[in-house]
Amino acid sequence: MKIYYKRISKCVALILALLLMLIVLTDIMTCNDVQTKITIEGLTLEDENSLDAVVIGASDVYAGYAPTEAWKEYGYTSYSLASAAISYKCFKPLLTECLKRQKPKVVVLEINAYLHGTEYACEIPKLKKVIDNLPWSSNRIDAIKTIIPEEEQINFFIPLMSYHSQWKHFGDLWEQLKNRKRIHDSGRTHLKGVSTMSYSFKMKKLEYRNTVFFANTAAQYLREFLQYCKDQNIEHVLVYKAPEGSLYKNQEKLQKIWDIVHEYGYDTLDCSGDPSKLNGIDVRTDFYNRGHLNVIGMKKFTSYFGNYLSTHYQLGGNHNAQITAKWNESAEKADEVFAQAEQAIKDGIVAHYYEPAVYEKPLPSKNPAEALQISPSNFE
Amino acid sequence: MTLISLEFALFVGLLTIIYFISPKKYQWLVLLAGSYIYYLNICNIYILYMMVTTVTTWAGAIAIDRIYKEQKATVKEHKKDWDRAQRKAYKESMLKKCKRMMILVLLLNFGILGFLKYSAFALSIAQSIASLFSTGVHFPSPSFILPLGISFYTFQSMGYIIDVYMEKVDAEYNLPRFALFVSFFPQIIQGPIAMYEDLAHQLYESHSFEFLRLKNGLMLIMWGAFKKMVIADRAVDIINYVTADSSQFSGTYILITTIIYALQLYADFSGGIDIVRGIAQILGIDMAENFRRPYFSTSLTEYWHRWHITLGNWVRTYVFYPLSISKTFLNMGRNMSQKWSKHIGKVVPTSLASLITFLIIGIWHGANGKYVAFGLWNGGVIMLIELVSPITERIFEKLHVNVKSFLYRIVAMTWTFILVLVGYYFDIAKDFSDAMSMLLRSVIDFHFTDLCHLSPLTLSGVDYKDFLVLLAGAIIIFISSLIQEITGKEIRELLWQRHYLLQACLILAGLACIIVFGCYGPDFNPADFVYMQF
Repeated sequence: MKIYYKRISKCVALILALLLMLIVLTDIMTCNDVQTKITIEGLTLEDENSLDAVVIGASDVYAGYAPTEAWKEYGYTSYSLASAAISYKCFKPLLTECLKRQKPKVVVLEINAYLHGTEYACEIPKLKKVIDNLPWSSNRIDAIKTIIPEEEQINFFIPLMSYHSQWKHFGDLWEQLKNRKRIHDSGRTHLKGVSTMSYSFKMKKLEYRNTVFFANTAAQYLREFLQYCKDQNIEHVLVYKAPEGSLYKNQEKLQKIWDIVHEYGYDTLDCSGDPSKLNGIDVRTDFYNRGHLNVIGMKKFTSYFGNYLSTHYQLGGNHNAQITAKWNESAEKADEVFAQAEQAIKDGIVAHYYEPAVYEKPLPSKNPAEALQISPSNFE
Repeated sequence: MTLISLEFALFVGLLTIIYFISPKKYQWLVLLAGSYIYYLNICNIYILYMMVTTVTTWAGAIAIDRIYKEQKATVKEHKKDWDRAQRKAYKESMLKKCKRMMILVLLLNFGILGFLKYSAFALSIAQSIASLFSTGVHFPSPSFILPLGISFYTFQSMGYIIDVYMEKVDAEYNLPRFALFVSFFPQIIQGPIAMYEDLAHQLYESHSFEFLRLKNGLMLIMWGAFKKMVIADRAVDIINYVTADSSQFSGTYILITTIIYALQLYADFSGGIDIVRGIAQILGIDMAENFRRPYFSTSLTEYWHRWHITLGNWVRTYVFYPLSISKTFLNMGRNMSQKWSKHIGKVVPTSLASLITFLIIGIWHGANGKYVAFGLWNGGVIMLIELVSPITERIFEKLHVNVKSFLYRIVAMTWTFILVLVGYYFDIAKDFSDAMSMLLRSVIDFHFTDLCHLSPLTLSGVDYKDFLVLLAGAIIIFISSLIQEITGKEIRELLWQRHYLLQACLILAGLACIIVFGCYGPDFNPADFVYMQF
C-alpha cells in the first residue's frame, strides 16, 4: 500500500511539474507582438479605478494620442488600449478586460478598424495579436468561442500549437521577457500604450487617396459594442475618427457610423479631413506616414482631443496623491522619450519609440521604409 | 486521426481506460472494437478490403485445419488396414488439398494487393513494350486508392495461413478473434509485421494494469514522438525540395540530402514503430522490435537483420528458406559444387535466393523501377560479398587485419553505411534514371567548398537553426544508440535505476524538446509516416 501511495504521489508530482512547465512555456513563447503584449499587460498594472478614460482602437490611437500629455495639460488619466491593424472583433474583449478593474467615465473608440473589408477583420494573425495576449479568464474563453471559427479554436485554447516555433526568434522572446519584467518592476507602463516612429513624412498637400468600406458585419459588431457599453452602464462613449494625412473619397459613408452611434445615444467626433483645423497639425511635418501622426503631431492632437474630452466629460482633478505622483513620474519619463524622438526626427534617425524606450534608447531601424510602412521611393 | 494527433492520443487514452476496467474475458473485444473504429475513421469504406482478407484467410485456415483433422482421424481409423504406401498416398493427397486451399487464399489476397498496388506499373511496362514494337496498342493507366496498411496486414495474414498449412500454429476458429489479429490498431498502418504465434495469444489473453508497463510504454511513445516530430518532420522539407528537381543542385547538396534522408527515414519509421510498441506495451502486449540500431551494422547482411526486422523475418521465413531448401536450389548447389567448387555450390544458390528475396522487398516498397533497382542493389551486393568472401578473408589474413578490432568495426560500419546510402538514392529519386544521375553527380560534382554554404538548402524553408536542431537530434539518437549497443539494455531500463528526480528531469526535458522543437501546429503541413504509403 505504501508503494502504491508513493507511486501515486510521484505521478501527481510529475503531472503538476508538467503542467507548470506548459504554463511557463506558453507564457514565454506566446510572443506575436511585443508592443500589444506590453499594452494589454500594462493595463492590468494600472491602479484599480484610476483611469478616467480608455481609448480603444488601432495604430491611429497609439500613434496619435498620448495619455501623459493629456495628464499634464488637463489632469485626467487615460490609457491607449490599441494594437496595429486590430480587428474590430477584438474591441469588446478589450473593453471587458479594462472593465474588470477600471470604471472609466468615458470609453473612447476610434473607428479606423471598421473601415476595411470583412476579410480584414477575420484574419487570424490579427485576432491572435490581441486574444493571445489577453490574460486567461472567462473573457478570453468567451472571445475565442464567439469570435474564432471552430476549426481554429484549438490553436487559441492551446497557444503553444502556434507559438512553439518562436524559439527561432529568441531575440523577440528575450525583448518581451525583458520588457515585461521592467513594467512589472515599475508597477506600470509609463507611456500608457503610446508608440511612435521618429520620422517626418513630408507630404506636399492633402490628397484624396482612401475609400471608406463599412460592411454589414462591421456595423453588426459596432452595434454589439455599443450595446455592451449600455449593458455595462457606461454613461459616456465617444466614437471618433482620428486625423490622417489623406482624405477619403467617400467621406459621406462615415455618416452611417455616426448614425449608428447616435442611435445608442452616444457621441461622435470626426477628426478626419483637413488636420490643420486640429490645433494646427501640419501635413508637411507632423506625420510619419500618410496614416499616422509623429510625436510632434501627437502632441498637437492630444492637446486638441484632451481639451474636447476634459470639457465634454468633466474629466480630471480628482485623483489622490499617490496616483498623482505616479502619473507625474510617468509624464516625466514620457517627456524624455518624446524629446528623444523629436531629436531623432531632426537628426534623421528612424527608430521605434514605445515602452522599452523608457529604459533604453531604441536602435535605428534596419529597414526604415518598411518600419514606416512607406514605399522606399517615398523614403528620404 | 494520424498516430501523432490529439485525437489519436485521446482515442488511445480512452481505449486504455475502457480496456482495463472491462471484465478480463472481454478485453480482447474492446481491442477489436477499437481497432475497427480506428480503421473506419481513417479508411472509411476501404475497410472492406481488410474484411475480405480477414474472412478469406480465416475461412481458408479453417478449411486447411479441417482437412488435417480429417486426415489424422482417417489415418487413425485405418491404422491397421492401411499399409505405409497407402497412408503416404493418402497424406499426400490431403496435403495437396491443403496446398490448393492455401494457394487460393494467397492468390486472392496477394492478388488484391498486387492489383491495387502494381497494376498501373505493370500496364505501364506493357505499354512501353507495345510502343517499342509500334503496335499502336494503348493500355489504360488506372489509378487506385490503396487502403492504408494493406501491405502490412496482407503480409501478416498470409504469414498466418502459411503457418497453419505448415502446422506451426492451430487455426483460429473464432472469426472476431482472428479479425483482431489482422486489424490490431496500433500496428495496422506501418507494422511491425507480427507472427501469429507471437502476437495472437497476447491479444486474446487478459491483462492487468501494470505501472511499469505504463512507464515503459509512455517513454517509448515519447521517444518515438521526438524522433518523428523533431527530426523526421523537420528534415522532410529539405528532401522534398532537393528531389523535386535535383538537377538544380550540385553533387554536394545531393549527398547531404541523401545523408539527411538516412536520418529522416530512420527517425520516421523507427519513431512510428516506437509509438506503436509503446501503445501495445501499455495494453500489456509486447510487439516485436523492428529496428536495432541499423547504422551500427558492419555488413549489409547485418543491416537487414537490424532494419525493418519483421519484414526481413517474414521474407526470410516464407521466401528465402523455402527457396533455399527447395529441390531446384538444392540440385543447383549440388551441380555447382561438382562443376566449380564447394564454395560456389554453397554460396550461389543461397545468394540467388537472397537476390529474389530482396527483389520482393524492393517491389514491396513500391511499383516503380527504382524500387526494383533498390532490391537488386541490396541483393546483388550481398551476393557479391558472399561470393568473394574467401578472397577477402585471404587478403585480411595476409595484411594481418584484426576483424575483431575497434578500428575494423568503424571502417566496416562506414563502408556499410555507404552501401546503404547508395540504396537510398533509389528511394528518394523520382525514377531509376534520376537515381543514377544523382548518384553520379554526388561523386563527380562534389565540392568541399559547398559544405560551407548551405544557403541553397535553406530555400526549402529549413533554416540554419533547423539544421542545428537536426544535428542535435542526430547526436542524441547516436548517443542513446551507442549506450544501448554497448550495454545491451534499453535506455529506459537504465533510467528507472536512477533517482526519481533525475528521471523526472529527463522526462520533462524530453517533453519540452518535443513541445518546443516539434513540427506541428497550424502553419505546419504534417508529413505522413513514410511507411503509411505501404
